[in-house]
Amino acid sequence: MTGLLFTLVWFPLIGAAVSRLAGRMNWFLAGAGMNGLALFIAGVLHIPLHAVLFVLGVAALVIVVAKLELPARPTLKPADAAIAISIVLLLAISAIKPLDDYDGRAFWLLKAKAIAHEARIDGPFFHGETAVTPRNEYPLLVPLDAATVMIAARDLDERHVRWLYALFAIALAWEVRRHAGPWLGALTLWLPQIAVSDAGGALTAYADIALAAFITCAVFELASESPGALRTGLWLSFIVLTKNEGLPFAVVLLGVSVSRLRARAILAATPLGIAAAALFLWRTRIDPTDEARFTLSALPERLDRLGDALLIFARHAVAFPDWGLFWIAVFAAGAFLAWQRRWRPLLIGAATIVPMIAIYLIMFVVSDWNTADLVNSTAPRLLTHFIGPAMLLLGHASREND
Amino acid sequence: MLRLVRETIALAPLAYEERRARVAGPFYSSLRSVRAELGANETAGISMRDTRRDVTNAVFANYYLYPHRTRFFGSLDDYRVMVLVDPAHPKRLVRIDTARTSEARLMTYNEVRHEEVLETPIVRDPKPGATALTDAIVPMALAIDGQPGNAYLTDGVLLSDLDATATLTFFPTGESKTFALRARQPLVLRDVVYQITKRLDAGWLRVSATAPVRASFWFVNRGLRHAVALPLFERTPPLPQRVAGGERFWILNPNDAVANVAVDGTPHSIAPHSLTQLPARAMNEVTADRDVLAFSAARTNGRERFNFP
Repeated sequence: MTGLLFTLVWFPLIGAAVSRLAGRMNWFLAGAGMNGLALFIAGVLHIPLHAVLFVLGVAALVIVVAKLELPARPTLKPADAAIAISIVLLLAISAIKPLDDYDGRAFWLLKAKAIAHEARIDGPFFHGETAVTPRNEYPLLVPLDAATVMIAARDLDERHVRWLYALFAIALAWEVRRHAGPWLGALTLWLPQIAVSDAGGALTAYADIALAAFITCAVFELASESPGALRTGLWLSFIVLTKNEGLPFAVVLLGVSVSRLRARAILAATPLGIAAAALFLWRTRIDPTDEARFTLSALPERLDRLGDALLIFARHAVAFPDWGLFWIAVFAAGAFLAWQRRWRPLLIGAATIVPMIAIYLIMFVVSDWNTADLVNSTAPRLLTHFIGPAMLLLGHASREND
Repeated sequence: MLRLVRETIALAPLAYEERRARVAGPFYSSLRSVRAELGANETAGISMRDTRRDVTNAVFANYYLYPHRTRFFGSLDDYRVMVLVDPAHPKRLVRIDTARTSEARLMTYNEVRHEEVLETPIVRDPKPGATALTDAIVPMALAIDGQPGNAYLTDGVLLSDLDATATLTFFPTGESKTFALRARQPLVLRDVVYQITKRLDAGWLRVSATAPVRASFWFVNRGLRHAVALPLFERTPPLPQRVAGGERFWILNPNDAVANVAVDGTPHSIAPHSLTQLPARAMNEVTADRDVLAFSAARTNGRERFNFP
């Protein structure tokens, strides 16, 4: 219970402070992102993490109390009953059912435990001196958030952080609700891949939903009437530090931001640049272990596999048990927006989805893994990353006009 | 979702650790026991029987045991190499062998070694010798490791026409173990020295049975998957004994008192019940004031060849 209370207070508190400084952002996601970003940069600079947490907490409290401004109470809609039911179910299941997924335990939470235990991000654990450290170079934003909860609970047990992952999904749904409408917000939490998948769902400790949530925030920010450069930059920096896929995503979104922010895109690039530099600097200090290997030079000779990879990926997109009819609806929404000549959401959505799918397909092909095995084992959860731009298309298509 | 809700409702009345044991199965319960047994600063080697098959459980053991220090060992030889080069090597192994059990077991290297030895016998169809004896000496008995990849041990088989017992005494330490023999049913003994001593050691065996038994024992090199039958001695050969030279030369003193021995005129004192290695020559002539057994061994292409008087 300590973990739940702390998670419900700490991250929204940090997020409220960030919102106060940068303009309106999702409190939970901004808090989780800023907490991870601050701890990661502090870790790279060898500033003690406990001290950073203390300063972060005090600063957030001061900023929030100095000008307390609660967001407007949302008007509840019938669809919110569906969101409420899924929130209750996700939190109840997180509270009761212990973790049983693979990546969450094998990689992500092991890192969180190590960070909480050593209070460092390049300590003995990350040099393989204390335990086996699979995927040693994975970005650490979500493990840093989980470690924060463990530090607060003074216990490395996963039970304290189970909520964190469900709350990422809930915050994602809330963001979709705010920008694309209550029914799409409700749908987010009822998509099987997000609600119940044991490989990347809200009840696991994977980082895919956190990444999807940050991407969603960035996409909606860029699609808004007056996108903020600092807010966009912060979302992009969180994206980079969440998963390996985050870097290309952030670069693609930075490209999209140029069309929306113009010269202010440089301001958006600043936090992204700092986060990326910190990530690369950190990686020079630790040893890679069993990271996935990609041989880009092999692409010309493996181009013939591209068609198969696309076909399998597309098959997963329309696999009813994982995604229902969601991606078919997204495709139809895109076609509808094109027919209606509503270019802005269509271009932002497509400019995010198309290049990233192309990058994923190329990575499938140049990976040292068997292409079909890799696509089959990752496609359902990789599709989660596109939920933001997909909801943007659906949201706009479901409105009469923009 | 409905399945998850049903599962959650069933778990709800249990304590968290019980829920985790229910969800993660006996593997998690066994890791709890392992964690409780490990010393606060003890490093645990996570030893897999088959890397491909057992790596998932090894990864989860790594997770659940943290912050205990852990190291992965894909094979026992990996562990032996580490023992040779790193004094801080783990003293105990968390054994993951999912073909045998889904549970993780905290074991010593010797226990794991013995378990592996029993899995793949080198002497596949052990046949007892032709002569029935009630007392006999097995001149060499061992359970030791050579360079990583090599392991030496002693296998045997005993057969009696009557129900009987056979006591095997390992010397020079004198530890013994008694085995029940059922009439006309061969008793196969794998890694017999470890069975008696529960450690790695080298020496010789005395077999004492309550009824005549036919027996055979083998010197086994597991690295080469090679076994050599050892002769059994009801009594030591008469003195002087002439033994063709080998690379190694031994004198076995089965007596309770020191044996004063001369090998090619050079005097040696051989402690009671000991198997003493001496310099080998092309031909070794042995005299002594008591019964002793001299023999030598040479290795050709790694295969052992013994010379007896």
